[in-house]
Amino acid sequence: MPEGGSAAAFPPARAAFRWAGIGGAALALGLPLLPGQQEYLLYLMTMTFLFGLLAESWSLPAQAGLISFGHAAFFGVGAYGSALLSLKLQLSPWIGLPTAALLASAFGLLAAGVAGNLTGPYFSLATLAMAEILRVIALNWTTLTEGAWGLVGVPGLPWSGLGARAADYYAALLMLAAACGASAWIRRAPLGLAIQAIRQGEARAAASGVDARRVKRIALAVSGLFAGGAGALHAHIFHWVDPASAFSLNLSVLPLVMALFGGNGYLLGPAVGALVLYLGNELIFQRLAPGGHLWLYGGAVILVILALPEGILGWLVVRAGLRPRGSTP
Amino acid sequence: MAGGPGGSAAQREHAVILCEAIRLSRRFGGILALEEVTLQIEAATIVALIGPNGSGKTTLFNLLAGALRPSAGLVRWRGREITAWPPHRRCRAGINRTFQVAQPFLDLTLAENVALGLLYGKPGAPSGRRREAEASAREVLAELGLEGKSGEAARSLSLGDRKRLELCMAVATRPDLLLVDEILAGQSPASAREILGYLARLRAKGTAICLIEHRLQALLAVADRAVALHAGRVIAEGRPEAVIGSPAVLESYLGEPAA
Repeated sequence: MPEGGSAAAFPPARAAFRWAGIGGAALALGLPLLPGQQEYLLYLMTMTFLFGLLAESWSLPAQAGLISFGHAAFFGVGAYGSALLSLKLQLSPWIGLPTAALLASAFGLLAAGVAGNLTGPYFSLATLAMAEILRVIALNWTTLTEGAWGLVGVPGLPWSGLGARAADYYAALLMLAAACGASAWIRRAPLGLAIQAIRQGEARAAASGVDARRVKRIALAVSGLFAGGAGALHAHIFHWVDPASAFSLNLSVLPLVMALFGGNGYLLGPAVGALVLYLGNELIFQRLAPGGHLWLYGGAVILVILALPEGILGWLVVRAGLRPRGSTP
Repeated sequence: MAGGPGGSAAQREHAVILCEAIRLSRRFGGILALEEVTLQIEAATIVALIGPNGSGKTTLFNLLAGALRPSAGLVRWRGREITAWPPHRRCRAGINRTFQVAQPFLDLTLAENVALGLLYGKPGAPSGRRREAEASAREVLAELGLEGKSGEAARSLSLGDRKRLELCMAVATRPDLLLVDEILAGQSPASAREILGYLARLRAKGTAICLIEHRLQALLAVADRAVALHAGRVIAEGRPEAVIGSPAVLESYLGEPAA
């Protein structure tokens, strides 16, 4: 991101963003320690971080032009992986969760091998099919997965110190921070440049020496790692996994919607999208219209995407004068 | 400007042969775009590739750079067969090209466009770090007077400047063989002289350059050797003045002389 010039002319805006970030991080870290009954708040924030994690993971390959319609595949591999490791092998969730995330990462490599040469809608359809194939396998491999019944009794994250809700909360926060940290590092590294170049012209990137297939493999493996981590954590929070929810189409569409809503070109755009959409739906739309909140949700998404094509964060950054309109994030 | 005194035959025999096309053919459906073309390119030499539209010049570039696979024939690089190598591997080995229609990454800055080649091109970059690569990119851009725009998005450039950027992007990968496809089209005479001067400086550093160009006068000024293609075949090869003046070449451009 270009520094200087416009930024120097608007130091208050840049400082405001920085203080908002520091304040938000401090609040996020301290929230479970605040006095008072706040089980529901912790649950809401845990789910927000979980969706933020999923949206951030979706965003990385999207920067390279790989628009996944099947992120539920990674989520489900992580969820089933960690549930099976703790139920069948009695592994601690603290070992099962990262192992399952690695499994989902390996699935990302597989997806890159199978569909990495496809572009545009063909790649999207291939990922959609992958999630569907995994759902059918989970449904029918009953000796392993209990079929439609699902796996029940998945243990929660064992952490006696602060209680189950706080353990889930910190695990989600830590993974979201790790995903954002990895994304930030990649963006500043040569790899980030290669990812952007591939999206804008794969043949031209190859002529500059970029091995596009390798870059796509890395992007999908990292994406799978974090999406799988989200799925695994979900299984431990709810103590249950079934094919319809773990490989739900909803889980494939939501990260896409949240990333575009928040601002896909920005490091924290997907997380901001998850925050606004998930909390907006839970705290505002569902109370305004308990029976029809999804209408409000859909309407809000359409309005924002039509009116703010760069997402909420993009709109804020341009308005604050940190970046001229029409330039790239 | 460094005029190109073509090396004598004796000098050429001692020159290092970098790239060889051996009986390369490429078919597109029923059309034979290139037919058994054999070509050698030596280090520190500028070879002009001339011929009318559709004679197979860009197809030959695509076969040498790896964007296309030949229907028959071989490509050798420093004696090694590389016919099946993909473009990024050839780039890292030292072959690079510019595109006839400039294709910079429009949403990246000029410095980023060039830094990509510095970071991913032939091994031996001064630094593998992004920030340092973007600083070095400014030096490459300065060679063609673009350093003042290094922080701007490539989208903001005129077509002429996009072609200059295209050349900088290719040079950034530190090629030993640079394939330059119609870089002078759309450039002013002064700008064309500047670009040709730059190519001559690259040659002086040992880079081999293969140039597709329709401005024959400009070619005469820098090329050491010319190869003329017509309908996918080599019809003349040798010193540029001789090739441009040869009856076969005149006929290919102008048609058969009226009796």
